[in-house]
Order: sequence, then C-alpha cells, then structure tokens
Amino acid sequence: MHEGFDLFVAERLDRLLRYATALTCDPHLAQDIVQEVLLRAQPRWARIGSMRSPELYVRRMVTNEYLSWRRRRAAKEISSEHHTLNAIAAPTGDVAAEHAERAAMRARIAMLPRKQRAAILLRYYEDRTDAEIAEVLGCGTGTVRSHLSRALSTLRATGYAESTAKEAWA
Amino acid sequence: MNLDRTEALIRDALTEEAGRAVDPGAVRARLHEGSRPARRYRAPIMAAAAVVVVAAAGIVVPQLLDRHGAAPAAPAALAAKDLNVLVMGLDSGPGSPRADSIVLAHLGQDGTGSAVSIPRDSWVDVPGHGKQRLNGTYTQVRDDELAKGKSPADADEAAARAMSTTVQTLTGVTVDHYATIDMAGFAEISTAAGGVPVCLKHAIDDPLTGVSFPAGQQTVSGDKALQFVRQRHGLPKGDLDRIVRLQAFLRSLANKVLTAPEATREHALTTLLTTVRDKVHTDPGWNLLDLTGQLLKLRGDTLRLGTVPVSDTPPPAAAGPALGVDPAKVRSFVQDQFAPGAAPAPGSGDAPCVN
Repeated sequence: MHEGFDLFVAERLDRLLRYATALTCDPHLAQDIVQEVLLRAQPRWARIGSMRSPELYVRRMVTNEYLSWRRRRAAKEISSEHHTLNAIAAPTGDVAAEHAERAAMRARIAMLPRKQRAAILLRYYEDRTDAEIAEVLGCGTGTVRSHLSRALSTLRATGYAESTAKEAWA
Repeated sequence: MNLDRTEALIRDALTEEAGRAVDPGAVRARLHEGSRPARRYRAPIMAAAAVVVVAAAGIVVPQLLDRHGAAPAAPAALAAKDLNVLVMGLDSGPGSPRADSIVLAHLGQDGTGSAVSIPRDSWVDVPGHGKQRLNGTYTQVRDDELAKGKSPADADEAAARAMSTTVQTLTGVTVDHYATIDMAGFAEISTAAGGVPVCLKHAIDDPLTGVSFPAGQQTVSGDKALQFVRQRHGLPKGDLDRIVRLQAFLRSLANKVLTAPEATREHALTTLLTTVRDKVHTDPGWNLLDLTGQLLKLRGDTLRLGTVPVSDTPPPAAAGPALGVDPAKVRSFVQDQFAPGAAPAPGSGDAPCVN
C-alpha cells in the first residue's frame, strides 16, 4: 500500500533499532518502541513521507516515546550488567583496559538524564547538527547546546574506568 | 568532526551500546503482519522466578546482616505459619504493564515450597467486572484507577489487589500477600548464576521473532535466557508450553543458585538481592524479612511446580483466545499441590527436556 514506507523500513530499520537501543540501553525495550512507532507511522505514511526529513520525524517519535516512558531504571540495569560481565570475563592487558574504559563510559552515559543522553547520542553517534537535534528533541538549539555541554562535563568529570560500575554495586 | 579523547570514547561506547540491538528481521516480520499488537509479543518473562528471587533474598539477607555484625531479628519466631503468595510477572513498557505470568506460591512452615501457574488466558470471574481473561484484569483496574486520578503507585496496588481477589475466588486459597516483579532483571540473574542449564526436545527456529535454539542440553543466560522463558510462538501449545519452560528454567535456576560453589553463589545471591530491591514490589503490609525463617530451610529440590488444569473447549462467550477453567477442578488441584508432605518431583542431574 505504501511503497515509501516499505522502502523506509528496508533502508532505515537497522539504524533505527541501533539508535533506539543506544537511547534506551535496553534492546527489548528498543524493539518494542521502534515496532510501536512504525506501526503508528505506517497508516500516516503519505503525510510523513512527504516531509522534508521523514527520518528525523521518526527519530523524534521514537525519542518522544522513550522520554515519556514511565520506567526510569535503565541506568541501573546497564551498570549491573557491566559489573556482571566484568566479574565473569575479567580480561587482562591493554585490550582489557580499553574494554573497561568503554564499559565505564557506557555506564556513565546510561546514567545521564534522558534528554542529555538523547542529545549526546544524536551528536556523537548520529553526527547530527544542533538544528537537527533540536528538531528531534522538540526544543531550541540553545537548549541543545546546554544539554550537550552539561552532559559532556558530566562525562569528563568522572575519572576513566571502574568507579561508576563499582559504586552502583557498593 | 574532530574529537578529543573523551568524545572518541563516547562514540565508541555508544556504538557498542547500539550493537546490542535486536535483529531487524523480527521487527520486519511484525510490521508485515500489519496488525497492532506489538505489546503482545513483549515478554511475559516469568513470574515463577520471583519465588526463587524472593526465596534467595530471604537466604542472603540474614547472611549479609551477619557479616556486617548486625543481628537478624529472631527469624524462627516469625515463621509460624504457611503463607500463600501471589506472584505476578509484570511485562513493563510504555503504557500500563500487563500481568502475563501469574503464579500462586505456597511456602510451608516445614520448609517446603510449591507453586502453581495460572495461564494468563484463563477465562475467569473477576469480582466486579464479570468474566474476562485473567491477565486483562491488572491492566484494566490499573487504567481505571489512573483515570480516577490515582497515583501510579496506588493504581498498581489496586490492580494487584484485584488480581489477588480474582485468584482467591478461583482457587479458594486465601492469598496472604502479593508480590509483583518487573522481569527485566531476569537476564541479570541468569548471567550472575553463570548460566542456567535447560534442555529442549526439538530445535526451534521461529521466523516471526527470530528466536532460535538448538535441541538438547544447553546453558542459557542474559538475553538468551529471556528469550527462552518468553517464547511461545512456534511452540506446539503456545503459552502452556511457555509455562512449562518457565518452570523447568525456574527449577534449574533454583538448583544452580542454591547448590553453587560458595564464590559463585555469593555473586548470584547478591544479584538476586539487588534485583529484589529494585524490581520486586510487595503489598505494603509485608516485609520480606519476615520470611527469613521459612526461606532458610527452602531447598531447590523441595520446590513443587504445576499448572492449574484447563479445559480443551474454549469458553463460549470468549472474545479472542481464552482458556476455559473449571473452578472445582482448579480448587482440588491447588489443594493437592499445597498439601503438606507431598512428595517433591524426583531430582535429576540434567535439566528435563521441554518443548
């Protein structure tokens, strides 16, 4: 019925799932949200497809769905998982240090306020401009810059590696 | 974009996080169906696990207290009677959660434990709402309460109470307490336990959800464990097979945790404790610590698990899929199951194979 929709799904679904997964830190929740959003977008595709950037619009739907979602435990879950994996895998050497550093960063990102996390994701994972991020988050570019700078200073402030994951389990 | 070291690390971390995304094939299949029910496929992960979670918490809490020098309140004095606990596995996500896994657990003062699963599609009498599917009750009551302006916490409580009343009416068993568990923490527990051995009679490859498992003995943890207890598509008896899976998984998990070597055991129990703290909610009048005495005695091999009998003929008035249940048969089944001293199912080294 909507060839445009099928094409959009074929080309963008993978990327969209990855975006939602990094946004929610929960692959299952990401799947549910993306599914829900696409099912909602499908009947309205004639309108969405004619927009300047359907992709940004769908990103916005996904982001809103998540931001309005009541559960706020994602941060806890991810840090727990890291702890578990670290405890079991206990890697050594340089590869291990890099792994630990990245894991700690994932945990810190997961604990950011959700809008800040979305902004960081759109900037560093999706390479979006301030204006595009503003469109997705439904706010002004000034607010985007403030989200980004606050998030960055939080992420820079904490030392590298361990601390976060361990604290979550103390 | 020129990135400094932190920014490069942020990008790497985000990429790694994004890499956990599920296979797009599963989502594409759902979209091609064209229908709406994304939420039906989200997981009722398993409520029976809550029994283990609660049990393990009861074991680990006093140990932790001991280690830190605080004396636990004399537990034996508190464990004076049998308890019936309704455990509901909540499938949480956008919108009201659904109670898709429903288990009535009986904790005997002699240290035995038994649990009966009640299929979510059971067509039951809901006091004040007539006949409907059991799992619709939680959502409906919660939504009604929210519409009346109640807080989410109050609405959750009202919904859980309505479920308790419904199950009490169905089984004739007085529900002393209820607990709800957000099952998302389950992957963590299975991973912390170092994986849970399970066995499948047949290999499964479900094109709809993209979930596949080989036949035979295997160990599942993390996401794979969730898939194992969530799957009902592609199984011969759907949700009923899922319940059997979940019971096999629960038994195996209990066995693994309760008999693990000390180092692993402590780690698994700590995870359980954290999960309980974060993801289990009980009725306001119930302190899990009160269970300590009973739970200290509870062993994995004394757990009895069963599913209430359902009839093959669907109820006439049912809209959509529903299972007929005969309250008289349910009552006698539950009575037998909860009877003191009934022999536990024989233990075995390997996990029994299921569909």
